Amino acid sequence: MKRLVTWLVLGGLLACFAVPGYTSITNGSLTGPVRERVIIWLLFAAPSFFAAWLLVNAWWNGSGQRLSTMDSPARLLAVAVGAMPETRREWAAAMQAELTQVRGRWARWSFAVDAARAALFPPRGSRLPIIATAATVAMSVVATFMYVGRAMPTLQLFAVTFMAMAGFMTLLAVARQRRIVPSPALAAMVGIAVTGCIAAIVYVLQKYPDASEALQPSRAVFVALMLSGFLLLALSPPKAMMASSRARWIGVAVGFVLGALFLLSTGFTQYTNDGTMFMLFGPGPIFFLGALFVAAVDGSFRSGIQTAVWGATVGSLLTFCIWLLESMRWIQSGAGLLIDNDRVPNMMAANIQDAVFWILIWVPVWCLPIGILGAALSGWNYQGRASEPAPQNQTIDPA
Amino acid sequence: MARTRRPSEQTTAVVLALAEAPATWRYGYELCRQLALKAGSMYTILMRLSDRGLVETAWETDTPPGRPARHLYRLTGPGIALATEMAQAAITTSKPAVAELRARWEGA
Repeated sequence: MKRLVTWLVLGGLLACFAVPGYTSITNGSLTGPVRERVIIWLLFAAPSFFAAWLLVNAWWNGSGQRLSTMDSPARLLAVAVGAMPETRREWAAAMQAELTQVRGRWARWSFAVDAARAALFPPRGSRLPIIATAATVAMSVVATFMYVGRAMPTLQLFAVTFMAMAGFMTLLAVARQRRIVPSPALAAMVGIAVTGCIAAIVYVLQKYPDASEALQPSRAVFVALMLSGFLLLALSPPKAMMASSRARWIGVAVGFVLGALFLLSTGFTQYTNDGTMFMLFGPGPIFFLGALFVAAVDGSFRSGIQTAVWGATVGSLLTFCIWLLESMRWIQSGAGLLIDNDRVPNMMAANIQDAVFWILIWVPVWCLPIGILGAALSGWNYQGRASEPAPQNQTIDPA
Repeated sequence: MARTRRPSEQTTAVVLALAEAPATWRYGYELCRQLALKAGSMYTILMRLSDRGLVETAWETDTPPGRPARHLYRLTGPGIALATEMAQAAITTSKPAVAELRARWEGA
């Protein structure tokens, strides 16, 4: 089963990389002979594949091995009960324990499928929070559509997508009774950063209306999804992302270091035209060292992963905001594009496109795997989370 | 004012089945087979009854090696009172299965 999961994950990654890889190799984004372009693309993709392989191994050492000892109905139920709210975990264990008493393939499948239904849709004490949240989300989306459509039509798609995604994921968190805002400080920090990014976009488009050309529908939706995704990660993070406070805050520090170094570098690259070099070689070591340090101190690969994830979250938001504002300063001082000091007809639009690629795509796709490699290097302890014993409310002999 | 809703036929059947022997702990799968209820319905009903304090839960002790402890259920005091009301109501509804359960409970 481990091999199957590994091949599925790597195959999925290959599909994700293949299309943009083929596009960039054939459309002239990468220069040089075809063989060189393929090699460059493979080097770009390699850390992701290696990191994915490491993550599958870590998962296998955690819950994967336990799943492999089960038959298919038990695996189905184990996955379904994993989605239950924390307040229902006792019932999750109850249904899984009861399945061990069911004999016969058909009876086991029937029990597992029905119990999975109860696990995915457990009864709710009060539907009021869900209804209230849904109503708030709907009103917010409509209000955003109307207000932004009047005030800044070029941002309407971005704003509505952002509001809809943020609202939908909030609704999901409320419906699953997941704890919202487990770390108020972190949520506030990310919230301010997301607000800053949105404010920077609005400010840039007000100063340079032609730059709206950069926010064509697909890019506008992508940026909205990324920003809302970062926000929701901070507001309702998976439990695994909150396990180590040290990992979390060092990750935030990694993000700040990335932003600070980027800001410093723009002071130099204006004269050296080496923005590309910084983005290619600058962020990786920061993530690698941060995750390596935390994994070594905590003795845990998973802690290193948390550092990399939070570093990518905070770093991407800060650097995106800085990129937009610095682009404006460069244009006003007569310089070219932030990334390579080139001059093109619609400078601000090109800067926005570069910011979207280098920060919202490159940082997560390149730096996150590099961070995971750093975590793997020093987190020799690959132990997954120990399986939780069934809660014992009382111990009773039913006889 | 607390919101009240008439319990479903399935919920009534579960409550009356537990009321047959109120002091006895019952297993979930055992109740499923007795009442021919699917596991999804049974556990949803048990969760609701537990949330409302009508059913208490426990984990069995003395578990045979190699299998996990099973979850156990029985009615609480308010649950037994509810069973009484349901049994009374079942007289007027003429539902054979529920009436049978009521008869068995009253005879216990």
